Amino acid sequence: MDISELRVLMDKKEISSAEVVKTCLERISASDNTIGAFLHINPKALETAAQAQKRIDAGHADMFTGIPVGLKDNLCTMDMPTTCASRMLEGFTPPYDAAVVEKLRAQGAVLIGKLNMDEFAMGASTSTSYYKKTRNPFDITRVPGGSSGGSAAAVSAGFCAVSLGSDTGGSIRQPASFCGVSGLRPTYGRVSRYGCVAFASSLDQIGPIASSAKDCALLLTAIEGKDTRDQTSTEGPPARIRDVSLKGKRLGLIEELIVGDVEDETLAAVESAALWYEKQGAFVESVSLPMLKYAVPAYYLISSAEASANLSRFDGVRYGYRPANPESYESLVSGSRRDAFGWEVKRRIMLGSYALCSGYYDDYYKRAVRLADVIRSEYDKAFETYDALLSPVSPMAAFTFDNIPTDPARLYLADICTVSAALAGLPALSTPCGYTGNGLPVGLMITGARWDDYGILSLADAFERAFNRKRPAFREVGQ
Amino acid sequence: MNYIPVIGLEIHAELMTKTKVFCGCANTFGSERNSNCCPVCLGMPGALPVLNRRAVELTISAGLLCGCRISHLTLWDRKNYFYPDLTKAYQISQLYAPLCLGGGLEINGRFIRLNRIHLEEDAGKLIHERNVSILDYNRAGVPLIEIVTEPDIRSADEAVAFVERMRRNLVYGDICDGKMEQGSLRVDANISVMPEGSDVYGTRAEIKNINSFRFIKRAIEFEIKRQIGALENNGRVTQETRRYDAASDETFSMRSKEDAHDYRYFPDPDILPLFMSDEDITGIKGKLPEPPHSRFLRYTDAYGLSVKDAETILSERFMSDFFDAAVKIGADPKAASNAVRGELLRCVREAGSDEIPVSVSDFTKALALAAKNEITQEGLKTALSYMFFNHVDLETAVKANNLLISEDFELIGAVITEILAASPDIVSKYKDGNSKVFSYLFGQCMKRLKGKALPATINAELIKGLNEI
Repeated sequence: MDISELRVLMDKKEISSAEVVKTCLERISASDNTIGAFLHINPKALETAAQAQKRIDAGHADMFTGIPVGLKDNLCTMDMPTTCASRMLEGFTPPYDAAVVEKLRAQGAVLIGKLNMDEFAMGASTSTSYYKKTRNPFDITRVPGGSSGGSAAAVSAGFCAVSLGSDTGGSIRQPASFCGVSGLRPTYGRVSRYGCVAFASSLDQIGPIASSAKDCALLLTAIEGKDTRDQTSTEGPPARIRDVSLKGKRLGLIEELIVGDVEDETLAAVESAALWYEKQGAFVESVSLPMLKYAVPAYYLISSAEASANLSRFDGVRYGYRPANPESYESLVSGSRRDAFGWEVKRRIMLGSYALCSGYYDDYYKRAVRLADVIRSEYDKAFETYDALLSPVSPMAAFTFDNIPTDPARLYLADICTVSAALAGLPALSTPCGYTGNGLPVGLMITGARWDDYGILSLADAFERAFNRKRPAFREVGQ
Repeated sequence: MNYIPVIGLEIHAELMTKTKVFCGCANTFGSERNSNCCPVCLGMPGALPVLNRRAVELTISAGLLCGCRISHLTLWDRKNYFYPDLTKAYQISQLYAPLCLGGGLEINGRFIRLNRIHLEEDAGKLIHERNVSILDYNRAGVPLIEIVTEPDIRSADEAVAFVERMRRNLVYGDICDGKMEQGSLRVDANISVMPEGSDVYGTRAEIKNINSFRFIKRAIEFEIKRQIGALENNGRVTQETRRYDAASDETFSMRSKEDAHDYRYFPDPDILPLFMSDEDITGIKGKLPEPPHSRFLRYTDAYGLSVKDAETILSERFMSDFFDAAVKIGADPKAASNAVRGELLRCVREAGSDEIPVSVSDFTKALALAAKNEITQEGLKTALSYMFFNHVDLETAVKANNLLISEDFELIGAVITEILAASPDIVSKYKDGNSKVFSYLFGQCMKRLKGKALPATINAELIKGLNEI
């Protein structure tokens, strides 16, 4: 059931907020010990639902009044712990709400809990979480993707109607694709980052994960807008999802992202989606963005450099983990960071610090920034011709826990499809477009021009209405 | 061998903004510990900086006063290092594109060039008490400008004169309150020495955080002697950071070059570049308070004050402002200068005050009373100090001290007759043509009639009295 249907039923008093929230809580208690999506469940969810109900009864409901929403655990909530799935922030409750959380609370949304993720959003499998494994609802021997793996798995498993994730280099799109749901990385600046624990400030964007592009659009509308507390946020042009005619739309299939290591079944699903658009009258052709082959190293240098500074504040002085009886300030800082950061976080801090060292700055960080500029202008040029660009979200469908690459260079290369839109600050979404022989979902990525978030959501919506989406096998069995 | 000292300064000045540079917390000194703090200046996870435009304007003001080239774009870099008082473990600063470049100040005929003025955030304070260290983050995020000179200074006295002149500019520009004892103005000095005749600078040492004029002079003088001693004894000076200890009047090594930080500067992605147009900068220039140098010219040229008197008035901003306000509403500049530099400055020193709690209009009226001989010069002083210490108006001060002159000629005549009768020798000397003794007699009369008769009246009546004998 989508959000607008749920809204109508709630407003007509055919279903109460408490009933919806109870259903979610029951599913969570029945199955989350298998899936492992939640790090924290809001003990006051039903209380909030009751308050929301008063508002609904009074006829003042907003779109998300009484609707259960899950939050990635890097979004600050003053009434729930915010750990970023790190030991560093074990038990830490921030003194303030993230801007997006404020907006959802103002609408009367029921914040149902905090969702698992890769530690500090670094990873693509949610397996760098200090706390728990999250399993893919389509196949519990497989990863849900990451870093917003908990957010995608929770929506896929029906634990909440929609959720928020964050996307630095693909952290919304890739788990959405692995878990067979829709997810949007908005245009950089469309959503305030205030209260989203920073990984890489120039790339981080908060975005929606939902069962459909239409619901993503509704959630985007609820959270977007300029915020005076985030100078990089901007008021986007006013727009909504529309029923678009596909006739004459020009769609480019990104050559650099459909060759090489992309698995056959993934390629086939993406190509059949492209064919569908063509059948509806769209004009689809291959387009080459040659600089995209440098996107992965550029992304890892920039994001790790920024992360090395952003994560320095975790020094054990004011909040978070600290070792027992440190002898000195130095041992307090090094002990906190040694004990409480996981390997992946340490690796990125090392990489980023190295890239910024005097003597290496020009060769690494600065060159990476120049590459990002070049990639951005290649996209700009492509959008002079095309309305949107198509590609896979990931070269492969969800992999098993045993198959998580241990070689970071190989692991990072899997991000090839998602990082370039992030470097260019462009909106990009993932929508399910097929299933592998094993029944695993495959995602189609649609990348749009700056501020065309609702344009690509409309394109996805058209496809989704024609596409026969499957629910996870887990859900069929479990419910 | 003779050595030439080569000195460059870094002056850190906190800006007089209402709020901090990247958040809305109050920028005040002396508040309860950690009371002016929020998630942003405490570096809480997820908090983001928002630039205070006023801090940029004040930095540009400082640049304009020093003749710098002003950048239209404000860009930010992160300077990374761990220290307990630095909440984010990076300081938001300006390495690659400072707001102000070049410029300088003339000190006693020599031009000391500036390298740059840039804006950054101050860190918190680490307070060591017996067994604990206390962190106070009220200062974290206070806007701070760093004024960096070229190594153009050649003596401790010149360094002091430069800092004094810079401080005066900042204070008169409403940029910084200049209170070194509160840490709102701190100085780092880079010092080296080279043999006379050489044009190759020696190895330098940096002395950090000097917080008074006296210490600037003593720290630099000590360091010059120390370096010359080192060169004479073992031929070399180590590049290092040192601190000045006032108690022992020496500098001590803090860390050597090998321990120097790699700050891993890079552009801060959280803050968008701020663009200031030519009109914006012209607007800032137009709103600058009159700088001290142009006040000086006004005092000496238009009002005819001596260089020394003008400098005395300018030595404190509040005195100059008080003086200007009085002149503006009609006070005679010379009389006002005498009263400000004389009785009022005496009161200021006695009270240890940094303001003149006397109404400018009452001050001006008091000068007028004295000019019209309605009170004596002595009476003027009494009125001013009475108003200063008792916070009352002029009328009350005059009444309380019975200052208005109502000349009682009978009393004057009686006093003169009495004094002349008591000094027959002197009177006869006067009669014999020794006019010098007149001043003695006049002095005697003044003493007795102080505040009750005008000098001119006493003069006239005394002559009359002598002629009658």
